[in-house]
Amino acid sequence: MRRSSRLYRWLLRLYPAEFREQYGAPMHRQFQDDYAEVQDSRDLLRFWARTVGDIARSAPRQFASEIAQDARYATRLWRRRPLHTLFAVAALALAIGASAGVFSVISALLLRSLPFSASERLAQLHMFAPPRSEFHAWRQQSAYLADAAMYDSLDVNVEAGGQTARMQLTETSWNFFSLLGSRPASGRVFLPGEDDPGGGDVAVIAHSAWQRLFGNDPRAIGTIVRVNGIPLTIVGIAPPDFDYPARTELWAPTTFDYQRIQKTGSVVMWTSIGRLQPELTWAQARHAFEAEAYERAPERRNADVPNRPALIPLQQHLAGPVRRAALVLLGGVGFLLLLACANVANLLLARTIARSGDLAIQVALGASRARLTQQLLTESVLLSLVASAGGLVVAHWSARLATAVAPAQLASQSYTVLDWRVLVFAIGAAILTGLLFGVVPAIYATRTSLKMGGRSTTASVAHTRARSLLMAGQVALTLVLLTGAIALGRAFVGLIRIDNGYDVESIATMSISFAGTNYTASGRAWSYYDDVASRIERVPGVQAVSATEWLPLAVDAFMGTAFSLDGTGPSSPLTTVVSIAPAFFRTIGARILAGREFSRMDLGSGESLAVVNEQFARTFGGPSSLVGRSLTADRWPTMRIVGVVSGMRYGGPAYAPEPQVFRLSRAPRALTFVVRVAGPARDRIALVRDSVQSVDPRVPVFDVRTMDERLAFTLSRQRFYVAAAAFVGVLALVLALVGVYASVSYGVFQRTREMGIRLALGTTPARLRAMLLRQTLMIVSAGAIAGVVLTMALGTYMASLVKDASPAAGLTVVAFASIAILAASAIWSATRQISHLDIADVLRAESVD
Amino acid sequence: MTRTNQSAARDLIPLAPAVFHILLSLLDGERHGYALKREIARRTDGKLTLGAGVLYGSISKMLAQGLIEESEDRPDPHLDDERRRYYRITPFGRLVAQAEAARMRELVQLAASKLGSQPA
Repeated sequence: MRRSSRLYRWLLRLYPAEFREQYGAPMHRQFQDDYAEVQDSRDLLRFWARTVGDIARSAPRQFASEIAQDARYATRLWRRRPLHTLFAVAALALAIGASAGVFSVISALLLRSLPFSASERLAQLHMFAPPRSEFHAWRQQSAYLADAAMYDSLDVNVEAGGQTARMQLTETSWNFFSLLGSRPASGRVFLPGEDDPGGGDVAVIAHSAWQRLFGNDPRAIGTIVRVNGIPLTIVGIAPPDFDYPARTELWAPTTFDYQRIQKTGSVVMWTSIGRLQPELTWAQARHAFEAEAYERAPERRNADVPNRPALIPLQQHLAGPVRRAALVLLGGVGFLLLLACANVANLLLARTIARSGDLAIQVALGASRARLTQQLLTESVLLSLVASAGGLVVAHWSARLATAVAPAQLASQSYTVLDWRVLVFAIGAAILTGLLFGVVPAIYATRTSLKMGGRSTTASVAHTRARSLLMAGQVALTLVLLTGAIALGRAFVGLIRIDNGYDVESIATMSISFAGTNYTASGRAWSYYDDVASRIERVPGVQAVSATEWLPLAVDAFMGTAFSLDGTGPSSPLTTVVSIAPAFFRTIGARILAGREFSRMDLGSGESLAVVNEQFARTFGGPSSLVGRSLTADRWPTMRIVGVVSGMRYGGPAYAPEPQVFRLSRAPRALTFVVRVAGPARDRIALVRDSVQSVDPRVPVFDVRTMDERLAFTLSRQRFYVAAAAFVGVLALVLALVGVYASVSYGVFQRTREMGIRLALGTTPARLRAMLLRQTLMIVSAGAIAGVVLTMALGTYMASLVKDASPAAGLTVVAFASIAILAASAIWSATRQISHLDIADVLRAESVD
Repeated sequence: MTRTNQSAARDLIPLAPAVFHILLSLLDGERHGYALKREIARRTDGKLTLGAGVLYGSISKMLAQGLIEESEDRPDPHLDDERRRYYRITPFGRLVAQAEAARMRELVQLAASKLGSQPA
């Protein structure tokens, strides 16, 4: 009996505070009465089942009704202080949102499992090359891998269903799909032996490419596609969303047959992946792998860590450097979230004190500590839940920003807030933070306000000092972050406005590749070029057309050497060589400084001609003296200089122009067309693309983008830093203002007695407020000065993120002034209550204490 | 009864079975919680046994709705335990009980007209 009774008393804790106080005793009594009627153990079992069922039915209902009551009360309170509420919600929404945004990246990359079977057993064989000639023998006798596959990827022209598209092809060993455990959506995957050189002329197509090229037609299986001109038969369609590795659209079992599919200039890298032996742990497999890898290549022991062989879980490998960055960022935003908690706790504390009269009345009416705690915690958790709803918007925005700057490798890893883990995280963070910042005021309310009026005069000097220190520290941090954000933003605007040496608004660009066609034969490329150019010129609004093999802002590889003039004298610094078509400079908007640029006529002459840029010319004295002289270099034909052109920022606004030599393209395998139009290029680009495509459907047109878009892409990393810095700066500012406001409100309350006496001695409320303003601004300034010092120290680091971002003195003044003004208004409004202070009240309250 | 009370009563019906039974039991006089439970179990031949949570949950809600109120008097201090609280029905509670009874009567009449009265 005693034990059951105690258990029931404990179970009563499942009811909310007020209900428990009201009815706990009679319920317990009823329990005892009922228990007395229990006769045997079967009865007892039934009795407990009924009791537990009763609690399970009624406790949630009571909770819901009390929480609804508290929530109504809380909303009434919030509506009375809208600014207060807005600041608290904004601070929390920004902090929770940023955390959830970063978490959405972590969730997508590290927590969501890969779309392969038992993907946690898959490994990337980093910096390790199995023998390609006897790969299958090697994998079959491996002690630590149950299976392994090899692949390489390249961009190819794929002719299918009457059209030609540019796609990423992955050449694999035959067991690539079976290793991953992926079954085709339709048809089959590769068979043993199909990866022998000359073995199989087969391919598997991605689901999305099948939909696009074949319009969901199941007869695609059995169709022949031409990959860089080589015919392959489609034998299967990959499962939907299968795009491993890195957005592949076509797979062929030709990785051991290097000659089969023509590789146009691109460097092919073989990669191996494997599946661990079933009974091995990762540690054991790693051990065995490293033993084998170092036996094959002992010199790798001395390599840097990134170049040493490693058996890396596939998921971790795919996350790459983003993993580390996201984890570090999560730590950073977690810190901000704690800071937000501290400030909102301060704010709520100040508000709870202002409400202590209310609370005292509630206590007088019989509310217990537990009831008051529950009410205050409900209020704070509700506040943070509202904030986290707003935070999801912030999180969505952060996830999109992350996608722009560091997109995931696979479609199935895309960052989104509509992921149950992210939603659970946001709600969990809201509840936790709500409890965290709600606990302080709740403790205060139950400890202090139970006394009449709740005014305590025991606040120690140490407390006040700690509060001032916190305020100053926060102001310092805010100043650093704000100055940083403004400096980064200003530098970014500078980058956008910089003259790159070419136009961006009115230039449309698009690429073609001749792979698999016979245009690569001498001279034929130019007849294609002439056809395309004359068609593009007929598009309304087009002003000029040219082409290049290497477009600014589209840097992947370059050729370069050091040149001398006329075969003698000193040689130039390393100079890049760019192949272009006639009229390139006029089209893209570069200025000819001396001589001329290439014309259509130059194509016919057998002579090698060159145009050099002003940076190149500068190393030999100047533009005018160079025209007519000849350029010589090892293993290059001698070229006659016909002109000097102004410098172009090939790598983007952040990089100064470098010495360059331009020559006419001879037998290009790929070209990027450059088209100047009247007005924004975006409006014409589709028409231009169609006219290019209409010349020869076997030559695919891809990478269709305006120069504007390329510039935005080039600057996406910088834009991310600026956006992140602005976000953190604004968040810090909001937090600092909340902190100052709360601190001052609390201070006013603490010093009520002093204020009362001062008022009694004849000071006006306005003077009192001015005094507080002065005192608090002193603390704010002290913090700000510390911030200025810190900012100066951080200048070089910021310059490393975005060029020219080191903060100038003027900026610091701007940040200083805006913080001071905002802090002053926060202080002024926090001291508003002083004007309502009634001397008689104050002194009466004191005498009661 | 005022008109507003009548419409307030209509807003509360249909009543939960536990609530209706509590009201009916209190029509006979004041009772404490445990007595209510026993009375209801007796009237329904043990078909409706209210657990303490549901019973006091209902009581708490009915107090808030003004259907019942706590009674200050104790029938006989010698017979009773100080801890017990007594409840009595309010005039509004009586009105709600009547409205619920009327609703049920109409329902039964409707059912009878469709089914014919059959022996139970």
